Amino acid sequence: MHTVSGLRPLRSSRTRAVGFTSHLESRRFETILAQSLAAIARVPTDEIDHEIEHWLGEICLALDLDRSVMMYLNRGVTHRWSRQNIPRVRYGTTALHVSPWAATRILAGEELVWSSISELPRDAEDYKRWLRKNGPKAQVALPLRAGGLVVGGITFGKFRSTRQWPTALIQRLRLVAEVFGAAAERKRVESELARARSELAAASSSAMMGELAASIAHEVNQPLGAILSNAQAARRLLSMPATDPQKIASALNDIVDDSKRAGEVVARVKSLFRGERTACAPIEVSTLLSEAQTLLRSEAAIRRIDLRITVHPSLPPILGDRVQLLQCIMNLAINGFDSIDCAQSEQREVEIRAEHEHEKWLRIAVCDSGAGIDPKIGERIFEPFVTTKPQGMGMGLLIARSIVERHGGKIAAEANARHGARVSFTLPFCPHAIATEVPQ
Amino acid sequence: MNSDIRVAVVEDHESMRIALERLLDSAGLCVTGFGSADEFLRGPECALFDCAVVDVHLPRKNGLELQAELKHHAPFSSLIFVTGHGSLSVGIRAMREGAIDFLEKPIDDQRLLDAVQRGADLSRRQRAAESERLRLASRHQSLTAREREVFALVTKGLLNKQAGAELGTTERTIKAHRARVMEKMEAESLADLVRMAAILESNSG
Repeated sequence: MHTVSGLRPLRSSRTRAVGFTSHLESRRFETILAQSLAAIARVPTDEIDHEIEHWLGEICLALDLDRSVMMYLNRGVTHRWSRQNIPRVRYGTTALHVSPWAATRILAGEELVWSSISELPRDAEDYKRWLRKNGPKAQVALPLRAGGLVVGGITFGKFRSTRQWPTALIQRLRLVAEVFGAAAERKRVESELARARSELAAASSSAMMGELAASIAHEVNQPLGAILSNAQAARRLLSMPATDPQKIASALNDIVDDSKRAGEVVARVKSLFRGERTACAPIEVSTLLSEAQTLLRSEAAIRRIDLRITVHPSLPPILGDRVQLLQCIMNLAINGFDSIDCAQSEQREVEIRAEHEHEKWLRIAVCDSGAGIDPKIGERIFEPFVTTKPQGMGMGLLIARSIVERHGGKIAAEANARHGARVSFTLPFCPHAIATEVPQ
Repeated sequence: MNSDIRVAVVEDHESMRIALERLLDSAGLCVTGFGSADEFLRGPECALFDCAVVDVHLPRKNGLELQAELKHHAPFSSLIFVTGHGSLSVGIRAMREGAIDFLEKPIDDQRLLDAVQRGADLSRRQRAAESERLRLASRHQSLTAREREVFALVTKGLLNKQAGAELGTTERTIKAHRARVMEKMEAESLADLVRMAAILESNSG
């Protein structure tokens, strides 16, 4: 066997033939190699795994090999191919299960190339034992790298007989290791990104849920408080000898009104969550903004911010997901609140305006009297983890942007006329609504 | 309850404000409602309320700011805070600044009325003490310089003879001054005069 650890082979190989076993094998392999490298390089992420295994198989068949495996340090076997009647390796099997000796060598960046088990050195006893029981009679094991570090290995083995490994072949298998390894890495990075993104979305929506819950509690508590006080007043009035019945009647009327109000809050909350999965429905702009106002009112009051809603009359309905749009508006408004707190502005105002951007487009703008946008950050404000707030995550605007873009709109941030920032987004009006309701 | 207790309700939610007004009215109190801190503070009768029931989370100027400002406008009004969100830190701050109580909505009527009664009692006691002090101060103003010296010494417990020695005059002169001091201060006894001296001293700042 020989190992190629950069420069020094542990033991020279007896099998340093230069060419392939046959001219035919060489031609077949070159064709497959070219096809596989091209295919792997352009395959979409979700088909990478399947494609890698397919081409591992093609390569093995072209070289008359029996098994090929890709395994990673942390995840064990991720990709495999084996000829019929040849034992398969289970997914997840790690190199350490097989042989600490071999794993250590591969991780150190060495290539293990041997034509028969007898070539392996004496200290590879654990590897030899495993090979005699489960393994091939000849094998090439090459390290897989990501970002310059060895993260795993790829093997090509022959079970039915020993075989020679010409240098030209090893060179080509190295190329396979590089390209297949990069593809697997791309897949891993992308799926990890997707996971991080969905975790982030979940975290932000659970933070949003917390805010929502506080708002709802406050909104229900107001009428409830009034109901209790009115009821207690009525009870007192009844216990008094000479009471004007009109007084009791008006207390009872107010109780009825406040009960309805509390019921409306509950109904609104229910409808807010019922619509969660229905993606697209026509939405009245004024309804959307008054819902946003309800959700934001108590937060604004606590932070002593004057929240104003201006809806241009005669706006046609828009098409979209109500909950997502509410989340978007709330993100922008809360950002405005934070910015005002951050700047400790004298003027504490946030305005949400809805108006025509164009015949077919609505514009919703959230203007605050806060710190404004650092010109150094500029449009990067919509990128993840870019924030001007000391405690900010840099996610609020990113989420807002993804919601707006999902609706086919655009979002932009700019300095406000006098002070603070103005973040606005566009949304398309309902197509058939425009036909009947042309803006004045 | 005493119907001449004057209570202000400062609450921006209209339905809640009306409900509180009605409740306090049903308990026989004289109630006026305000929708914001400024409306209350700038009203001509601001200093006349015995007690104010104030929502902590008022827009623009919140309850704690109202409390700070009220100390200038009407130092002898009592405050009771009500809140929709129980925030312990705000409650502690309000109580430390002298609030009578801090109640969470929905509010129990008896607890509110008890607090109003306590607040009104406290305000009235403070106001009575203040007007007593002002009355005594004006009487004290009417004393001559020598009479004030005699007033100071005899209320410290000096005998006529000792006061005479202190001021370099006779016991008889002191006795005459002292009679005029008792008369001008409208004191019925030496003990009464000593009490007046204590009031003047304690609140002179």
